[in-house]
Amino acid sequence: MIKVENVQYAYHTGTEALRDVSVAFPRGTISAVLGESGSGKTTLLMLLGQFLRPDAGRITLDNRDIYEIPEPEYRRALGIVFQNLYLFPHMTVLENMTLAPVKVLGADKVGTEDDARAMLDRLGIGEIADSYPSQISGGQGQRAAIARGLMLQPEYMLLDEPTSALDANTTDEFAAWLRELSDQTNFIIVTHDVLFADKAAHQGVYLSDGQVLDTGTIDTIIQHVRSGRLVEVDG
Amino acid sequence: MPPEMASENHASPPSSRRRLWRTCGWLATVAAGVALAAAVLTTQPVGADGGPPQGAPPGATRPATRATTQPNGAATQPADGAVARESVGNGDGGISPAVVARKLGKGFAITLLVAAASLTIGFFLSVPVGVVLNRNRGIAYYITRSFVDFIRGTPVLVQLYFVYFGSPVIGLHLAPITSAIATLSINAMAYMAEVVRSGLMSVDRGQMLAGRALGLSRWDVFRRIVWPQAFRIAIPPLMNSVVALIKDTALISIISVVEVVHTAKSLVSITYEPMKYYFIVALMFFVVTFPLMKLAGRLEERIRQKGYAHD
Ligand SMILES: Nc1ncnc2c1ncn2[C@@H]1O[C@H](COP(=O)(O)OP(=O)(O)OP(=O)(O)O)[C@@H](O)[C@H]1O
Ligand SMILES: [Mg+2]
Repeated sequence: MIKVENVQYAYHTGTEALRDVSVAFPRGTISAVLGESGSGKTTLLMLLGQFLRPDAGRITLDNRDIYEIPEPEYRRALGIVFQNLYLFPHMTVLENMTLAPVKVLGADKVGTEDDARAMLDRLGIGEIADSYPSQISGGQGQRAAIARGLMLQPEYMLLDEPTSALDANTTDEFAAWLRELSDQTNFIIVTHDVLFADKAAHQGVYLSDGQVLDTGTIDTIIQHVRSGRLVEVDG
Repeated sequence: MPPEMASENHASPPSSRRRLWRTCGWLATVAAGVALAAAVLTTQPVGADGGPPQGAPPGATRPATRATTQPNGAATQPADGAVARESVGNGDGGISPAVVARKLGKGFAITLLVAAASLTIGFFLSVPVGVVLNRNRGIAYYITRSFVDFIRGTPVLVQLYFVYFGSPVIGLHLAPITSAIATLSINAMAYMAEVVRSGLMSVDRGQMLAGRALGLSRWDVFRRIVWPQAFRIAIPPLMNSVVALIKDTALISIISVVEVVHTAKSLVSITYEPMKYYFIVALMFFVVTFPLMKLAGRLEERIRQKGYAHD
């Protein structure tokens, strides 16, 4: 379980992006981090990814402070797919996927390529294996970036705004797809899309202005949003 | 499907225009090469008979042949040359085309050697220096920044004098060619580091984040992800630096490196034909720089069109 406890974070500009945030991401669920624009969702993700360090409070993975876990071990436990994906443009999708396993895990190149192709087939995008990122669609890119992260078989996977490149229909498909994958990976989805969160996630947290307004099952959060207790976000 | 769309992109109009440019480029290079060869070959008559030289002081060379030469020698050379070769032959101390070609060829080989050495050293130094410049903070940055600015802001000529005449002061007796390579390497480093820096800057920081998130080490992120992207962007401006440095190499004659300009100078002092010899030298440089300039232009175009240069 990943636990965020009383975390504070302010940017050097003085913006208090997170104020006393506590939230837990248990195994076996898909979690959603909801909230309007500027509420601190991406900041929380950057903290979870060790790209920013909390000013106060702590983040633990199975009760160990994440800064006490050796970096390689932590990186293997938690994958991140950024909002802008950041596929490596000079490599094919396949090369994007095999780079880390070969370099980080020292895996055999040929075997890894076979695994990567199998993974793409399983995710329904086998045909883009040898394409460059500039040659595939937004939705394919989204899946390719997730596939790249899954190659390291992380226990947790953070997805920042995964639906921003998808239309409504594809979003539904995508939610179902994540559900399918969730038996092996615990997804934490950062999104402002309440409908998508409803379809994909089991539980969630609602941020507003750097503070937690609501936590619980996704159904209760959405009820609260609908009833006006939480600000409905345009999305 | 996307892959097909991509290959269509490859094959459409831009490609045929590119082919046209490539053809023009090759034609111009070949033409320059032929002109160079012709220029070297037509050298004999003038050299052999002591020539017509416009600037030659009266009586400086064999008066006998001077009478047969037109005042505007260069243009009418071939015909004149044939006559001259038969009537005068060699063996009167003139310079045969073979000798000219050998001398200039040797000089140019030195030029290219110095340029190649300086560019290689300069490029390898420019990568770490560019990385430091891209950090934009810290003591290493400020020191590097000042040094690079100083090199770029002062004349190469002065730097050459400084190194060549200054090195003995600190007990280093550098040969002219060593001084030249040292100075030009530092120069190439400064200009190329600037190019490397802007290349690195153009790579989205997210690329680094994504690499780190995948557990890659800082070095692997640089080597496999950031550098390949920065380098592709930097290739055209790097080629321009290469061209600029090759031209700067002409300056090293002033610290008595016997390269092509130096050689031409001594040929001119015998033949009094500055136009001819310096034109030949100019062509020699052009034959090397032109393809590089064309290539730089083409790569730039390609990167602009594709947003990214895949092959
Ligand atoms: N690099 C930064 N420097 C300074 N302030 C920042 C930086 N990044 C974010 N902020 C500020 O921190 C606050 C939280 O930003 P954050 O990106 O976490 O919001 P978000 O919930 O992800 O928003 P969105 O839904 O628009 O992505 C905002 O007020 C934002 O302006
Ligand atoms: Mg965000």
